[in-house]
Amino acid sequence: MTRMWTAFGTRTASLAVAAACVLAAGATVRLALGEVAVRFGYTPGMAGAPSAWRLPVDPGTFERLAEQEIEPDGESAQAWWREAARLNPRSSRAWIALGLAAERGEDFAEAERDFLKAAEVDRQYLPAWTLANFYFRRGDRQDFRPWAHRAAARSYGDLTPLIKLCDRMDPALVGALGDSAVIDRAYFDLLIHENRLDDAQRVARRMLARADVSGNDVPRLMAFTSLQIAAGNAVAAREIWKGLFLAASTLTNGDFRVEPTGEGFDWKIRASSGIRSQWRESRIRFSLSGGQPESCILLDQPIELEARCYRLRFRHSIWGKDTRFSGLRWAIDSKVFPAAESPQLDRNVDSTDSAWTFRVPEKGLARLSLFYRREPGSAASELEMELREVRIEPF
Amino acid sequence: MSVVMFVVMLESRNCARPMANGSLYALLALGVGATLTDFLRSPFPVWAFEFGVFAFAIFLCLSSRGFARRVRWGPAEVALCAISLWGFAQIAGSTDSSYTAGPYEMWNASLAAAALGATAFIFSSHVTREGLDTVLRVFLWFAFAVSLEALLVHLIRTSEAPGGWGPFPNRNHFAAFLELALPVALWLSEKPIYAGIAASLLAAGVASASRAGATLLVLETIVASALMWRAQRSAVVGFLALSAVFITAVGAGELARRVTQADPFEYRREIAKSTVAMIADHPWRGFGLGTFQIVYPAYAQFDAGKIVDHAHNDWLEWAAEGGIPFALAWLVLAVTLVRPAIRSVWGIGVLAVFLHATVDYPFERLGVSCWIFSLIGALLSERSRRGRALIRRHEFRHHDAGAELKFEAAKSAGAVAVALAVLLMTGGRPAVAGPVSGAAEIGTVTTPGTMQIDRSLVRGNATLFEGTTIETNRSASSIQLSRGAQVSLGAFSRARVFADRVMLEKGDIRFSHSDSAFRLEVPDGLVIRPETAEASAQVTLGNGAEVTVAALAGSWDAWNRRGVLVAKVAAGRVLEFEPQASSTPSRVTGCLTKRSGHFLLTDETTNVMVEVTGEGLQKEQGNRVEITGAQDPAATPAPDASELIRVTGVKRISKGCEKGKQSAAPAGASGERGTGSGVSAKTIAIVAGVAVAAVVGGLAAAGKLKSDPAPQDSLSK
Repeated sequence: MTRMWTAFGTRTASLAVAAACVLAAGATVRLALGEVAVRFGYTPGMAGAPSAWRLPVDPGTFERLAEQEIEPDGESAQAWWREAARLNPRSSRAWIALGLAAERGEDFAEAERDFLKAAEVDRQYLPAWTLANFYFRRGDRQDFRPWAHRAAARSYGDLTPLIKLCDRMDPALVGALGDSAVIDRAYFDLLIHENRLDDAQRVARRMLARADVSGNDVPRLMAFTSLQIAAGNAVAAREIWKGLFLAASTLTNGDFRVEPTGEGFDWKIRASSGIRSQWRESRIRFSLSGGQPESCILLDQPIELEARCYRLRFRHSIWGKDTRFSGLRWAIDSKVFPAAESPQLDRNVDSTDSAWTFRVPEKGLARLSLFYRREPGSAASELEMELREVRIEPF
Repeated sequence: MSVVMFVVMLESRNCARPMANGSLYALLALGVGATLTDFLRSPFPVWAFEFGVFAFAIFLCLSSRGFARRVRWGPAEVALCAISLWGFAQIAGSTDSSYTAGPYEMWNASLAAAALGATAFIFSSHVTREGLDTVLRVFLWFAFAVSLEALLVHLIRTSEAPGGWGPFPNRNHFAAFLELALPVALWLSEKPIYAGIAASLLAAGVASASRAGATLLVLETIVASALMWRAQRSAVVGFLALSAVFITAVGAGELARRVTQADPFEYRREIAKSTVAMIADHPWRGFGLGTFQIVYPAYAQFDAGKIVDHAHNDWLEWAAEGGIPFALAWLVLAVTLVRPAIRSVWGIGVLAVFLHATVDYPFERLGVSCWIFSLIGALLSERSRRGRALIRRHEFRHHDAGAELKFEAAKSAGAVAVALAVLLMTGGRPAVAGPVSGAAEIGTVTTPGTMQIDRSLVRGNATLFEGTTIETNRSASSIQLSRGAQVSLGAFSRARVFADRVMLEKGDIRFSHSDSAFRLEVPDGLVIRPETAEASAQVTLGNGAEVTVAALAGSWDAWNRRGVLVAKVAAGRVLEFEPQASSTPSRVTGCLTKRSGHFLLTDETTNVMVEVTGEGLQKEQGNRVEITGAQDPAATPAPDASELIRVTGVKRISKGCEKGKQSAAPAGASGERGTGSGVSAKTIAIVAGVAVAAVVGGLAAAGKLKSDPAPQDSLSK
């Protein structure tokens, strides 16, 4: 009897499991049918068809269908988005799309509601960015600020679009995005790109004020000082330069301890045909092949000078083919006073201390340069020159 | 259904007759199919697998004396049952819509869990020892084939971009798959061929550069070698030697590079924090199986620019989706499997995958999980035969079971501890996505993917300003200007946008709802503007200087850089333009008429009226003619005429005008083809220095705007 009941129970259990599996298989088929219904032959006009059949449908399919519509504000696209939002109220993409459509239809209250809904279900970048853009377009500075801040906190890549938006709304808002080197850097680049040097100077000061001016920032700021010098803003350039190199003196890198960068107040080696240059620690060597131009600059540096006399001291060696003249001279020139030139540097000398005294008639930014000029009546120089320990001192 | 299934499982006892070989192969074929289709985004292969498993279960239930008869109920079976049915319970109890998200996702995940649970139960209740041997060998050979293919593709791959591994889109899942197969190969390594396969699997795992995967494979090797040392010393030595050779051959440089990366937990840490917040909100009932991806954004603490579809920690994801009880069911299952897995040797891979699940999501991929559950079922079937010392294959099975177990338990605990420590140290990062200041905004742009706005990457949407440059990627962008014009920029296109015009620089563009004040400018100075309201058109820039204009609705005018009307494009027509050198003679075809002392001709291709002057025109008045000549920019043409052409040649096409008009529209209708002007053999008109041809095929030839609204990249990829 017990055995019979056991057999009966087992059989019943098997049938029940089979029934459960039939239901599960049926559910699988329903899912597939729902997908097929959406992919083939279901249009927004048939709204609710899968629902009518109680088929669970992937909301993502509706989003993809909406995105494939040519006209994002068309009835069809909106119907797809509404269906997607209905099926998955946590889809920020759907809420954003609906919000944008509402905004384009000038239903700003509805647009704001949709965007806020998107931000509620999605704390990532896109809803915050969308809301910041929306409030920007509405000119709502008050509401713009927190969403721009949130977008900056969640940004995953290039901050430039967000910073540009803030800058257009109110440059002061960029600082409110957060105290971040990344934000400063992006803003700085934007301002340089727009040639807003005064604003960039302010951001550069902020970058310098950071305890850890990063390796990325130093070349950026050095290049900025070059821009400022080129624009004639010597004081501003000097300020940044001093911020970068606390021990900055009148003459930069006079001992050639580091390779000239050509940026800011550092030496710039000028390329000319027939002239080769080679830097080694503490010295720089120029080789003049004789095929160099009649007149050319070898090396120069922007320099800020007071209105007084200075003495330029340096050690140099010159050797090469025997000619009377080296053709090499120092010069100091400026936009506000005429150029002064040193006598030709002595040739066939070896590590000789030399000096040149000159007078600066007016305080300001000048250029100290080492240049070559063929002496009239002489052949072009073919020589090697090595320069080291350049110093400048009041005299 | 879930309640019925649960009750039935609970009531099930004993065993049914052995599974026939055909049935066994059918079940394995489902697993093979699921793995080989793992790379597909389509849900249909998953549903096919689920349907197959359910159908197979129905067949077993109806054809034998009961599907569930052999199930020996213990904590593992109860946990397995709970895991299988939990999702349905959540669906049944999801009347409160405030916490459940995505019925579609819940149904999918619940059915997948049920199918996987059913797979384990089928194996548990129907696989005999002989059948088990077959299952393991089939699985091993399949895994070997997959790994070999993946390895070969990897070795010959030239692209720097990370690609898939075999059918798996992700190196970590490939490694998890190998974790399951390696212990099986080692267990069978008595035969040298299997030692070789084991070595190749290990080498493939190292080559995959999955940090957690490689670590676990090495751990598996250590544990399995230790367990098999006394019985199969020579096989183990052979395997180790071969492994050294194979790993040297495939290289471990990529793995070494990834292991030394600065922050291996970047992203995983933040995702884990968000997942913990999700768990804290619904600790007992969870958000619903399969809903992690749609709930996560509300808890996100960062944005990597890519979709976060998994927690990269299955344990946390189980707790977030199913609640803590659901995660506990998994824990019970894992813990109860430790002993049979260690004792079997071939089942160690299941433990490894449970460990791997602390830094990845191997259980979420059907291609891996179907084999995990198959092995779990096989382990449970072995355990049901325990007590009669049937597990061990080789000599060491005869050792004292109690002492062996203690030794193994200690070893396994040690192994688990070491594995956790190593995972914590080396766990991998997910393989993972100037206008003038003060100008007012002029509209918005949206895209389903990403685009470049003034060379900055932007996703979704952005505000447009005067002079903004938009460059699309794979997806088209939709531009809505405040003045009402709506423009779609095709994929891989670039345009500069102003309030009243768009300058197309590359690719194609479509206008809709454009007002008549709006215009499109293309390189070489061609300007296209709507003649009528509500006009729409698609414009495509070719590789050279040619421009194709398809008027979809309304009429469009094309002007050259000097402001001379070049063509009128009527609705439904497609014209191709190519600016010519200024010295290129004009050529027009049409009916020559005279009005107020001026000879006038409306070109059949461009639909533009020109005034012509010169010898021999009087006699051709009222005829259809082809006229060549030089444009006189200094002269003032007659009213309604766009330019004056000084005729150098007149060729009659037909007497009278009516016949000619009928055959005028198609390209090449003039009979004479090719003028050397550049727009190929279709050229039939040159007006104001621009060659114009009607495109054969009309709007159909213009094609659709290019766009690939492909889903956004996933962080898991």
